[in-house]
Amino acid sequence: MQLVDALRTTLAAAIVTDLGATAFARWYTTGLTTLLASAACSNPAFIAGAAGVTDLDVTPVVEDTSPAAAGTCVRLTFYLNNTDANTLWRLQLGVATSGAPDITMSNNVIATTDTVQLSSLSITVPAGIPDVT
Amino acid sequence: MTEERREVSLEEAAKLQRAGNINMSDIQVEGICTIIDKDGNVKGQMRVCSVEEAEAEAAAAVSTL
Repeated sequence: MQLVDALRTTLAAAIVTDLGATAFARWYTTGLTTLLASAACSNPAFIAGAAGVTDLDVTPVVEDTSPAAAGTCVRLTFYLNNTDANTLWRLQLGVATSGAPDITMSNNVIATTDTVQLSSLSITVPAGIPDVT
Repeated sequence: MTEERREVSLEEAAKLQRAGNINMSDIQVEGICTIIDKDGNVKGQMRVCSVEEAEAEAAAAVSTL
């Protein structure tokens, strides 16, 4: 299947709209069991661009300078707000130090004295192509 | 009936993989996240999967074609 660029952009814009005005980046342990760190995003959190691209607004930088708990991070999520409710997440990215996760990290163990910082994040909705195989 | 087999390069394999259907794994994510310790040292840096890495993954996934 192939999507026209305008539709890809519409889908990317939907991410921006759906996350709303009070989105939070939240880092979790496996199964979203323990919230390790959280950071308020800008309003809106993402800036929609062309051809299905949307970029996280990192001005100011999205960071938590005093993580709530220590542990191994396996999820970076985006929630509608900073409430720990399973219905509020909108994006989840897998984090690991090896393999082929969404996010490869040299060290994914967060301490409460660390600063966790997102300095850029870009999401691209794919175009695809018509498949006749 | 005989089974046709041919060798493909990794580059070609990646193209074949990308020619498939759109699915969630095709959504590309790029970015940088960093864990900095209390002394200001970079403890861990998270380089979110790049386009190049996605292509490499695709090539690896179909390299046995």
